[in-house]
Amino acid sequence: MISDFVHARHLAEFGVLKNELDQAGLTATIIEKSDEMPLHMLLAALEPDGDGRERFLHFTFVPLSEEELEQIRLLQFFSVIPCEWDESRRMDMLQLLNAINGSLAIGHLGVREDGEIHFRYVHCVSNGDTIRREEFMEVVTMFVLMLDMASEPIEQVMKGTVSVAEASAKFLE
Amino acid sequence: MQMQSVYGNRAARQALQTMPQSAPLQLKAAKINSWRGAHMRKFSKMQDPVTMQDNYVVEEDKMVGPKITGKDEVEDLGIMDATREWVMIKFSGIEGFVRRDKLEQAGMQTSRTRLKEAKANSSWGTGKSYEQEDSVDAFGENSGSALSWMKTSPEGIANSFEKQAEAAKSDNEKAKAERQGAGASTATGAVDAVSGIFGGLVALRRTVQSYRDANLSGMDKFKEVAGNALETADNGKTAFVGGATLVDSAAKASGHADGVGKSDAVSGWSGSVGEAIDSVKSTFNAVLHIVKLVDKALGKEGASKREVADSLMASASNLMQGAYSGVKTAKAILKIVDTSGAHKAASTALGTAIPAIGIAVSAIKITIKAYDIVKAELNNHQMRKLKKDTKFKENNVDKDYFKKRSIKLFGKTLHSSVATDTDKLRARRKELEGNTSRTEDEEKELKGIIEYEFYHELQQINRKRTKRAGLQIAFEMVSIAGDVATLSGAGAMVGAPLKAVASGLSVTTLIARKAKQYGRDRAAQAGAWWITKKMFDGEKSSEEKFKLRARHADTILKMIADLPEYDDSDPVQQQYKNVENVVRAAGCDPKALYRLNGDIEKQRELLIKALAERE
Repeated sequence: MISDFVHARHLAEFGVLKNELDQAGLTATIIEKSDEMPLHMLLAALEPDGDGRERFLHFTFVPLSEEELEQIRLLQFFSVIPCEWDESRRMDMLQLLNAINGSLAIGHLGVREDGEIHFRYVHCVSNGDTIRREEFMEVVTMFVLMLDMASEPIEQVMKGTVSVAEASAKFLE
Repeated sequence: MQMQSVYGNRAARQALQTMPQSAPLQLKAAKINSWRGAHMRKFSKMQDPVTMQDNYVVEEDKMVGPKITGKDEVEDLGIMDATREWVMIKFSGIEGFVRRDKLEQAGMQTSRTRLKEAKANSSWGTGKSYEQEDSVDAFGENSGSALSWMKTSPEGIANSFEKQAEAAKSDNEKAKAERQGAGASTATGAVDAVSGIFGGLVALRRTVQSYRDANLSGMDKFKEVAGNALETADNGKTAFVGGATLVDSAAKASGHADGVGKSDAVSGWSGSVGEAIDSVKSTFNAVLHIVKLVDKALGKEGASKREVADSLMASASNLMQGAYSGVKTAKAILKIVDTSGAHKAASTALGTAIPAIGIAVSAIKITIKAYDIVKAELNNHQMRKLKKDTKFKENNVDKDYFKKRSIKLFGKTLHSSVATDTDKLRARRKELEGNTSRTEDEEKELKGIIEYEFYHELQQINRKRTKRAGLQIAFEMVSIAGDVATLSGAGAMVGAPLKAVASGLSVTTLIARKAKQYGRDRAAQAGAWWITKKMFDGEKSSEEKFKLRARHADTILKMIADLPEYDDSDPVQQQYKNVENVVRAAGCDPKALYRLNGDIEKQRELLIKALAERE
């Protein structure tokens, strides 16, 4: 359980970050915590992918109290890759995701049992200070760049237009 | 009668006795920092025979003293009236009351100014270091802030900000003069299963009225008021007009002479429960129909066939007029049942009594949001038709209010564009406006800027509104059970954001759990790594605790200093509200903090004490 004070800080910081994202053209909204949502969440709309599917970037602070984490806070970046899962490709996908993960500057790709592929990065920010806006925006840019890089090969291997070996090779060299 | 509602229960009475309402607090210079300025109101003083306290009643219609502009300085006498919405000040030798929110914001704004100055001339300081004898005094050093119940709830703050935003918006709304359509049907059908949700609505309406009249003093007080409202007849102030149909009343409310801002949609609402549901359902379907129409118009086929798109949009536009009054009704209902936002305390009690109310709320929100999206799209469409000369940007690209924005990474420019620096643009316009002897070129520039600003602003708003509303709709779907989602028949709307929100959340909470678990497991093992042990031990020395509190205090002050210049735009108001909430959540009364504006050391100390108190 984290205190009201910590939640209030998160909301205030999200407010500032929301404006930064809006200015950069990534329309953002804050979903405040409520009975249905245990945490505040900042949501940004990314450009749709190559097939026109909507993509979103979610930010949440990992709910650890100061007893647990004193100097830093963990800000999670999270985005679902809107690729239609084909169960018969599971082994190929696991191989591909692992290959891509090895070359990502930040974050990692993962896939759930139900076939949802996501790109996730947990960013450390100071607990003793407000988040630096320019730094934050550069991290966001990096995140989106990685996301874009990964999306195409994922789609290709899933559809079968490119073999997993060929797609992985690009990330392993 | 008024006093009875003010001093509803014993607890309130007792607490009020200890509150030095009549003793003037420190006389402090303050500002009315609202672009609208303020006008003091006359007041009368009465002594409560029970508590022997002085009560001030503000006569809102009677102005006294000269008009105060946003630049004038006034003296904050710190005395509040019985409703706690007005504060006594002194200006030009005359005493009068102004709305509390006008002064409070001045408090935060002044904090910001002083803190910024301190930052600039390096007088920020580092604060006192830890002292062994650091005893945490009772947090009641400043009289008037000792009792926690007096700290205005977040709802109170939301109310005060909301009011100011509403006041500013009402002027715009009047100017728009949207037509009240008669399109929404209000078939008085039989009450079906959904109506159970609205069963308590009637009582709640009365309750909300009483709740608003009484002090905002927390859950217990509300429960009592709600109980009274449900059981007994109203006290005359909350006359419940029966018989009129829902839409008629909603139309009347929106056609009220005072316009949207002043007239309270809640007070205008009356009608049977069955009518309420039917109206919302009709509206919902009507809006959905419109959404589909617009979707078609903007879809791949529509766009290429200009005429078809235009006529579809025209139909949509007409239908929108009809839907408008229905949406207004829905909004009125939403205000009552919404379990978040300004009226949280009121509806949370209702929510626990009627569990399904959350679903109803979401359905209503979706209706409203869908309406907003369509409205925004229609505006966009119309704006494209009215496309003005955009040469302004091209001709002035080298001026400093257009900035070249490029996204660079790893030495490569990924994307560049010319973005508008709205602050600089506004500053330049003010500069030109202030210059009474403009050259012909400057005259042209000023005209160009004004036009450009207008369309730029409209575009921004519409773009954001569309996307944001769309996101909100998708989010609302998250909180709705499957049944209602199918009611909308809009499976397409539920998609990426819905799933991702749930996933993202579950991962976040999972990390937290796992991290704690791992720590405990490791610490429990013999020969555990010392850092792990320390981190998850939970024991912290007093000195470490103090340092942490001091850092937090500094962070809060920093947040205030980093606030943008105050204006009445939504985003800025929201930021001010958020930061004030942080102060509150830290256990510190913002008023107490503002009183120390200009003295960082004292403000820091105050915050540190508040944080210590909370632990």
